[in-house]
Amino acid sequence: MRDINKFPVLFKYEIKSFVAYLKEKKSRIVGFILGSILIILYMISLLFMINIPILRENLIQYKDTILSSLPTAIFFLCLFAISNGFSIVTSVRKNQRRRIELLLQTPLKSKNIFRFFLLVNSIAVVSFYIIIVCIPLIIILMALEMNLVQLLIFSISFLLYLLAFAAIGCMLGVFYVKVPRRKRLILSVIFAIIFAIMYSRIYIMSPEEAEVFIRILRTINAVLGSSLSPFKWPASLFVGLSMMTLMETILSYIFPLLLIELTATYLTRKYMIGAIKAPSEVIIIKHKYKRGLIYKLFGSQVGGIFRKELKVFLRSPAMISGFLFVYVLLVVMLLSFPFRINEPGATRFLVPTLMIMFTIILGIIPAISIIPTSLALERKNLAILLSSPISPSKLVRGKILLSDILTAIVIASLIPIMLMYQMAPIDILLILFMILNIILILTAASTYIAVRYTDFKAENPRKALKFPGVIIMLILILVSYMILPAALVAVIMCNLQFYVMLFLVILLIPVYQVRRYLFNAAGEYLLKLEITEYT
Amino acid sequence: MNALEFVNITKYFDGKRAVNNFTAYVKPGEIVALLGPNGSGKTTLLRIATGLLKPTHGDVLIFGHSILHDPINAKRMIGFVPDEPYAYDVLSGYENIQLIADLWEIDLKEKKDELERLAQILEMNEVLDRTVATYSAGMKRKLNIIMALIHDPSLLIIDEITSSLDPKALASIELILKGLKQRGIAILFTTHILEVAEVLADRVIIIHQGEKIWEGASAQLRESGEKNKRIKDIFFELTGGPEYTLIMEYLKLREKYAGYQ
Repeated sequence: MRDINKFPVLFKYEIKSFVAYLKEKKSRIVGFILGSILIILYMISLLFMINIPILRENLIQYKDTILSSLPTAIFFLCLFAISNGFSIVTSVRKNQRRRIELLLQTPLKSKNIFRFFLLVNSIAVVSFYIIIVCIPLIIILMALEMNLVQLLIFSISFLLYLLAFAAIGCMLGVFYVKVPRRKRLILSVIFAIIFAIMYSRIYIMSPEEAEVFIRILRTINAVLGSSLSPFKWPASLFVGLSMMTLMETILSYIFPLLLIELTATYLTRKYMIGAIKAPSEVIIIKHKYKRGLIYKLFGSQVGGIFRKELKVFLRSPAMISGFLFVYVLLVVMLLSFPFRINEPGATRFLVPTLMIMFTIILGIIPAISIIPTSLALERKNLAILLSSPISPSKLVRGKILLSDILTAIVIASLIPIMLMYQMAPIDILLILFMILNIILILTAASTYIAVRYTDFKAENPRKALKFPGVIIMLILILVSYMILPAALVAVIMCNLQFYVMLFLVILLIPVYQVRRYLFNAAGEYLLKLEITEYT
Repeated sequence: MNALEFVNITKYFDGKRAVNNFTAYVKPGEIVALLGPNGSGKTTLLRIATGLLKPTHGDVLIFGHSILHDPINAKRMIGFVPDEPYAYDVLSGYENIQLIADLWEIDLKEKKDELERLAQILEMNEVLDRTVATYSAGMKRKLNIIMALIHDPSLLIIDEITSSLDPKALASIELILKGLKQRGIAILFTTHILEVAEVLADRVIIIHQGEKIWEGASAQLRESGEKNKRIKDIFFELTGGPEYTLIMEYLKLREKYAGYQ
């Protein structure tokens, strides 16, 4: 452990790099300050709520239930810590391999380097948990009149658990590099569909299903609450002071430390023998000189960019799984949710309103969020497009076409769903034209916003949209989300569907003009970009 | 008409001047080398010529088309090989070339034979159907050269011509460039290897701290210095050579530190 005195130095540089990251942009500092203020407000309101006598009495009344469910809570939080540890290595703090390689060139012991690597990343995960979970949990336990020594012993042990499981997640993140790209793509698609179905089922759970769900949770809780379960040990002292609980408490300190040590040992061994390497994956793509329908419709330049965008989309696990997740969610929700409402006449207002609301949230938002991501994904390759003889509007149209087609798929999926609900044809047409108009405007507006406010050098392309861009997009979405359903209900109530639909058809002409104008403006702006802004 | 004309180009980055009032030209069928030490403004000038940077003052004319006011027609004439490779990693080599063909509105099918021949010359024919992510730096560079040549540019701009290329590939490129020159193509390239400039270029332009300090036929460059002097020494005379005193001081300090250990 002769290297242990180097750890503070290494931590100092990690903190310095975080501060430099914040200072890089004003928006990050603003975000950090706003976030801190919100957290403080959240803490204060939590403290305030917990001191309301009725709430406090109710909490004390359920003291035993709360304490007995702690092992399950710890178990699920540890699972989340694994998932967060995994994503911090694979997507939030990318390129850590380079840092490891750099440190491995120094005279530090390799195992200490991996200990440090796991610790830094796990601390980053745990600091998030301290704010979101630990402090509220401690406040609740304080309200349950637990003494301070018990609380302190529990808190330290709980944090060690989170650290240990986050470390396991980080290790899995390092190992993820071994999964070939194709397998990643398939896994992402499968998980996206499974999670979308699970999420939507939980959201629209019937009382019978909820009962089964609770029964499963109780069984899990019984298993996790046994003395052999490590997830019971941190909270053992809350049950009472005995030889058994003391032993369990000691174990609650040894177990996570052992887990961290084992993780570091395993990771070091595997890394040092060269077992963690990306597979040499040669993907052969037989080239076809054929040009498709898009070329005929939009010409060679727009068609070429579209084809490139489509291939990048289909070969990017994050993008395709992101789209599939919300798309499956939308279809399952639209198919299931209105059926749950058994009120007479519900279909007349409720189904159309839900159609609009879900489509805006799950159909339009993902489609428009693809635009800044696709721009940021270009990075230095934007130079290929910007040094080519293409007009600004064609460049933008080529880039937006994929998003348009994905939204068209969403709209097309609505038709059979609406027919299934036996909606009146005029209502179906009204909804379709309403969505069509709003999509055409929103995608064009968001393209312009994306071009204006995308950080082309963003490390994570999915978070490339700058703060002002996010705010403007949110306002646009919120306004349409609030106005459209209300307008639709009003139109149906007043029986004005036919006239409004006609108006919406005519409205497509000015909407198209506005869209063209926005595309041109976005393209002009894009062409003014200098290479130093994206490389 | 000149193939390329830099007209009083000045470029500032955050108030710092990178290029100052630079004027130069390349004629059709001429090879011009742009030489200069690191940070002298070579890449900046090439990026301005391709429209990837906007000059603070001045303009660039490509066969009479202003890159600022008539960019589409100007860019149509240019084939550009950047200093660091630009290509989509998830696409295959062919798919990257297809994108270029689409952007320049040419039918790649008609150029199939030409493409295959060029790929053979650069030993890329076996790998063009593989995703670029699996390419080495040299392969990416060769792909960029194919991408720049596939649309028959009238002006070829190459940044760091020798970068990542093995001697065989470099020799092939030199022969291709000489052949293209005979067919009237104008070529502007930058390099750090002065001998390459001497062998390949008809004319040499040396820039230092964003300003043109010497221009003339490459043979003239040697004549401007003393006889039997290496071209490298002449270059150092113009732009400044190694810091001999500092190097000696550094080596002495190292010796002193090593003595303590």
